Amino acid sequence: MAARRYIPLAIFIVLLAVVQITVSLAGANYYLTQLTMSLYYALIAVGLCLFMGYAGQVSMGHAGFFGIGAYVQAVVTTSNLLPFKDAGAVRFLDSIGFLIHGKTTLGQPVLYVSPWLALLFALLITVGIAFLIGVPVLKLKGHYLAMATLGFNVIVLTLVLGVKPFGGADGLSGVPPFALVPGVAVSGRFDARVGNYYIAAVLLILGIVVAMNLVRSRVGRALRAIHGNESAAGSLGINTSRYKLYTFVLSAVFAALGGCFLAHYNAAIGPSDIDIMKSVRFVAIVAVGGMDSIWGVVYSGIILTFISLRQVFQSYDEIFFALILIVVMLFSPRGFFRYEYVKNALGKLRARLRKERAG
Amino acid sequence: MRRGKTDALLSVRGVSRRFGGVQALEEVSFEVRPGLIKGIIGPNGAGKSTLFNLIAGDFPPNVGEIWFNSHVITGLAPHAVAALGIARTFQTTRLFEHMTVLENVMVGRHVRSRTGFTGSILKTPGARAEERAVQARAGEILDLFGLDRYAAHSAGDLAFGIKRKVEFARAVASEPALLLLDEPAAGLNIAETRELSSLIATVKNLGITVLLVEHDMSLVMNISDEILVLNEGRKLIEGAPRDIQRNPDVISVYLGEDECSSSAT
Repeated sequence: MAARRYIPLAIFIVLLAVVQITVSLAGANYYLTQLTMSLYYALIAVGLCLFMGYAGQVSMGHAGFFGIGAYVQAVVTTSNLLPFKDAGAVRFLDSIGFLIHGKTTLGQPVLYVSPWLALLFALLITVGIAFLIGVPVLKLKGHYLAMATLGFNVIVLTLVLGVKPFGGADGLSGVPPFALVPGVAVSGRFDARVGNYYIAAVLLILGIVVAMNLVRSRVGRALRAIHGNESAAGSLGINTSRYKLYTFVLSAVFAALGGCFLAHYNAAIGPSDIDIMKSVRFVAIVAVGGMDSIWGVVYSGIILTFISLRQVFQSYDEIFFALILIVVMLFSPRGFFRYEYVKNALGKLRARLRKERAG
Repeated sequence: MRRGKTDALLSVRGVSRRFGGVQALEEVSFEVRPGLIKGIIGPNGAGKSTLFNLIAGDFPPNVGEIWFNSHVITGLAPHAVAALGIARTFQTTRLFEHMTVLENVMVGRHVRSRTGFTGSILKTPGARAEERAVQARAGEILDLFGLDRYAAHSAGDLAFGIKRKVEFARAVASEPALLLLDEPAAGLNIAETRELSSLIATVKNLGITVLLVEHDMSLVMNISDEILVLNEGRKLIEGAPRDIQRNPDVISVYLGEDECSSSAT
């Protein structure tokens, strides 16, 4: 029983490797850049799937959390501390190895905060903001909640555009590589494409395992109960507001984590990456994936992001995502790729075959 | 109004509740002693459901206190009331329709288990052991209710009578000290009602105290140890079923003044 749960995971890992080997053998490694980005976006979708598909809530503001992660990471790691190198705090951080002496692309020496420390900082800020936003906003339901989270996204976007250290309309560039361990760094360097593809894959797999463990547990059951009938869940002792809040925060962390890694991978982050249409896109991905199907969301996240990044829809990209959202909500509000649909279809087919054989 | 400790499990003291201009409950006081089945009856609009929802924490009373096991529970949220050991069913069944029957009953074990977000994500040995225990106990409850063959069914696909039973089983799964049953026989046929009555007796034998609101008079009179009659938001009378049946006030409330005089002869 327990082993069967890991079959989809094994299939996924094999598929990831097959795709990389095929692409590399075909001499088309440039595909790996978009694939890597798609893996990071799928991570964000998996987090949102917990909040939407399992807890049954909606967030039209997850690009805001993505932005908080990416921007904090970028601001912290692109701030040159060299002019302050004699300040006590800077010297202390340097002495315990939390600062990195590097060079800009132009070869000038810089001193900046270790991306690991920046990551910790970015995630802590995300958790703090998610709590602050979540406590009042999660009292709302349905489209009121959607509008409130949309408002949050607008605030983040406006702050980013208006506050100088965030680079305004230009965004931030020159984000240094993130050396996870010596020799393995998150960066967009051409000769590191294969390695980076696997870094993103490992992060996504970790996210999937976290999500799978959570949904197949007492907590996951409580979340589905809240989704099914909130008052009944409360009558059975489930602290519904706390469970919704924690899931909101966890899904925000998934989004921020994707943002932090993408900032290093692209070496940049800009306001167009965090606008409202990106939040709509995340919701569309989760809806297509089947809302409460983690694997459905993983595949829809990778595939939809990839074809979008390949410019298949050119300037109609946003229309495409808005359109799928409308279609899903109209015809299949519980999502497209649902295991039970496949199961039902197979069951009907089997019944028909049996009837034909009997008749 | 009595103060301090009593030997009652539940003690409702001088509770009033208003909705806009409607006085739904006025100065209602009563007690539920442990181990018994207490029935609440009264004509429509008597305040039975309001009383239930007050005890369960859906909304607070305007005046008065509710004590449970020497805790004041007035003003507590429903989940906090449940955590203290009060479980309930609803007048219209509220199942988790997209979950299986087994999963529904496993949710009933929520207050009897403790694995949180961290334990769930890390799948600690403690979390796994607890999950196995929850599943095993839920299985036993299904057996007790004769629902084992529906364990893997989606709750939304079940017939009405079975849904009622699953909701009952889900509430019992939390092993509450007090179980509130809100019109459990509503919509059930005669056979199902008979089965319900024997299930309530089984639950009583498990040591669970039962408070029920019910319109089916023969059911209430047969299984209740005590009966509370509400009328127009006030307590009319409280006593053993036999005394309630003979009480002229109760008869007049149910049958009207004129019929009362003729039926009393």
